[in-house]
Amino acid sequence: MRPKIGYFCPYLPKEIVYALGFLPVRLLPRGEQEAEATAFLPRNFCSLVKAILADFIGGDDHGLEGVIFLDACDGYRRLHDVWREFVPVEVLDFVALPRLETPLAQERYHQALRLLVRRLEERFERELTAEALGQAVMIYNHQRRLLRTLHERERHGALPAGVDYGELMVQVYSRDPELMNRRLEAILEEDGANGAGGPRLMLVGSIRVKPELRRTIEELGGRVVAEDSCLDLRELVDEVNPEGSVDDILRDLAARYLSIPPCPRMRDLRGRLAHLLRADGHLDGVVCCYYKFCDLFLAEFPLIREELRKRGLPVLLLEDEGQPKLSGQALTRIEAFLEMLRQ
Amino acid sequence: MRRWEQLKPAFLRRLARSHLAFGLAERALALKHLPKEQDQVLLRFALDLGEKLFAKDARGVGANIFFPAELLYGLDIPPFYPEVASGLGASLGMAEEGLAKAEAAGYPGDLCTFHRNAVGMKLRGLFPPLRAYVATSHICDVAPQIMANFAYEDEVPFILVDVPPERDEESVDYVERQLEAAVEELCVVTGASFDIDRLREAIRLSNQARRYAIEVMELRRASPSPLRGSGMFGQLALIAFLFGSPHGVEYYRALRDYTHELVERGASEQANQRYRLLWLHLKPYYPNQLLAHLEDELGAAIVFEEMSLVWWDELDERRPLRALAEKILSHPSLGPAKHRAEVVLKLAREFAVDGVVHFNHWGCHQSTGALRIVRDRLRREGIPFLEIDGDCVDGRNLQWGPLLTRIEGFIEMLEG
Repeated sequence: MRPKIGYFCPYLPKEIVYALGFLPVRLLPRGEQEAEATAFLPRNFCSLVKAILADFIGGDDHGLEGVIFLDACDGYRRLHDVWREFVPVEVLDFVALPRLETPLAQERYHQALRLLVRRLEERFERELTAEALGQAVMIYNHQRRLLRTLHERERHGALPAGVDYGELMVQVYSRDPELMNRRLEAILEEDGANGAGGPRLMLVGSIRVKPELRRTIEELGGRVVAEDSCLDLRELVDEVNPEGSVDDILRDLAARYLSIPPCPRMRDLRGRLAHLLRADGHLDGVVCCYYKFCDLFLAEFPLIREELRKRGLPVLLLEDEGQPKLSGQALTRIEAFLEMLRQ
Repeated sequence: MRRWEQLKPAFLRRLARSHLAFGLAERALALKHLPKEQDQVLLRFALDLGEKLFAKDARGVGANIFFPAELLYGLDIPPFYPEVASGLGASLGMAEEGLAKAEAAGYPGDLCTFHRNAVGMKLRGLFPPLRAYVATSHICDVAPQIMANFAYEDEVPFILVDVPPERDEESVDYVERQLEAAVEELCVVTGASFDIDRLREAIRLSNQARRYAIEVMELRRASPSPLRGSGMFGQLALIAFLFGSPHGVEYYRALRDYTHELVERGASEQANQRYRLLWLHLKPYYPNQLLAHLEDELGAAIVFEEMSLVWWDELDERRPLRALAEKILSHPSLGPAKHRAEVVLKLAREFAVDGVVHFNHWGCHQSTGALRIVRDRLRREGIPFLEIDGDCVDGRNLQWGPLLTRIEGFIEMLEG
């Protein structure tokens, strides 16, 4: 069993962590009461960040050797501040993550990744070799190819019955990638047809769309054909070159990760829209499910909604307060939205 | 009244574009309706800038409040700061309508009201036409997003200057190179021409204003506190707008002279001074009783405000863009909250305050998210700390009763 290192943001190249002999584990809220975190962050603070903090604030290290922060947004910046003071899990690095995709920003991120590697090597007295890094790149390249196929199957309603897509994605980003690759291969070998009729929806979320939402939509006769979230389409890094020195691979990782489908933190509205509209033509509507007080997604929302509406796509906004279950009000709104799409 | 409310946006738009309006205001200025010289300078500045921003073929550029105006003045581009306009709009009673417009456009009610009111004011047609928007990425996540939205809607370029969380030389290089690229793009979209001597002149003016502003800071350490703190909450806007312009030098020179004269006489704008407070973040900009009650009834003197801090070193005019990169990267709220906490502690000591108050502006998550770290640091040093909840722009979010109880309790505690 590899020791685990936690991380928070899809822009972190997991390959580096894996190649150093650790298992990168994506930290997600486990549904604890975020009230636990209110002594440390204000009551009107990002509910995702508070839910994650609540999981750790009691002293449970969840078996982690440490965590790696990225300068992702105000929310994670402030989580980092209180984490260092009050959470008994070591912060291994706070990585300066650019908000641009230019050659200058890629070079800047390359330097930041070099620094991350040096800190991890020193902290754990290990050396990152080109061979191990190249191997990790190949494993994750393979995983992303499998995930692309999975997304295509999802889009065309051809996932095997019984696959809980949301839970599967959580496992993909928290379990050993080789193990998960075998599981994905097995799933893709099965024929499937989960795509009965009903309005076809895209779910847009920040870190993730809660599995409960997807299940509810499907139970109510809707069909989820795409999900844009940090646990889904935004994780799809282009193929990374596994050849060359450690530095060559780090440079390529920096470039590839900065060019993933953009999150609003990149302020690339045109890029965001182009990415979201890739599934256009297969869609009847869009459900945006954002964590309450998540400024980045909420500030971007009006323009995204406007552009989607211009293309004839109705949009429903749900704000997630970090509870595992959907509220009664959210359920009613989903029902009404699906009803409207059927008419 | 209702009809006037409906007509007001159109009237203000026409007024803003009218040379007659500027002329009348200048006449009013000549009549010296504003007794303080620094206020006259501000009015002249606002008129000059308004005339440039609303002129035919104007080439104004919108910016977030942390983008250095020196660069825009150095390119002879009039700057426009939507966040400042939003605060001004709130002070003129325009927030309710602005916020309603923003909500109707889909902006959720939990977003910062400075930004939502800016959206609403823009939708009401109160902003000047702008050739581009430019924003730095640091400190506040929402501002660059709103600038990006404005640029998208207006089909003009949006330039993001990505600011890393560290203050090392590599970060300065990184920001400097982006500023170089921003200059090139701004010249293309506005038709401005780059003249290094003009940029250096803007840096020189900024440095002159800075020296006066630092003198004002030092004079404000006096006891009794010479200035009313409630009158100094526009400083963040002035730090954004004025530095790099000749008006900035005039304003801070006049403010220095005025403050100096008060200190020399041992006089003050506020008679009742029993306690000295440092104020963190901003204040409510709409009419309210909070600060008057605190100052006049309870005898609390706001001797300094976090947002009045001149935080940056003198700018090196030989390398102007590098100097501006250093200015951006030296902001106390960049990076970990403990940087901010140390700056606050230093100010509390320098100004010999009895307590520190943080105004929790609803929706400003970068600021309130740092509170636990700031509060713990101050309490370790035995400095009393009070947080009060409210909203700088939306008066409906200020609950006067509970607020009064908290403030009076805090003052009683200081007495004890």
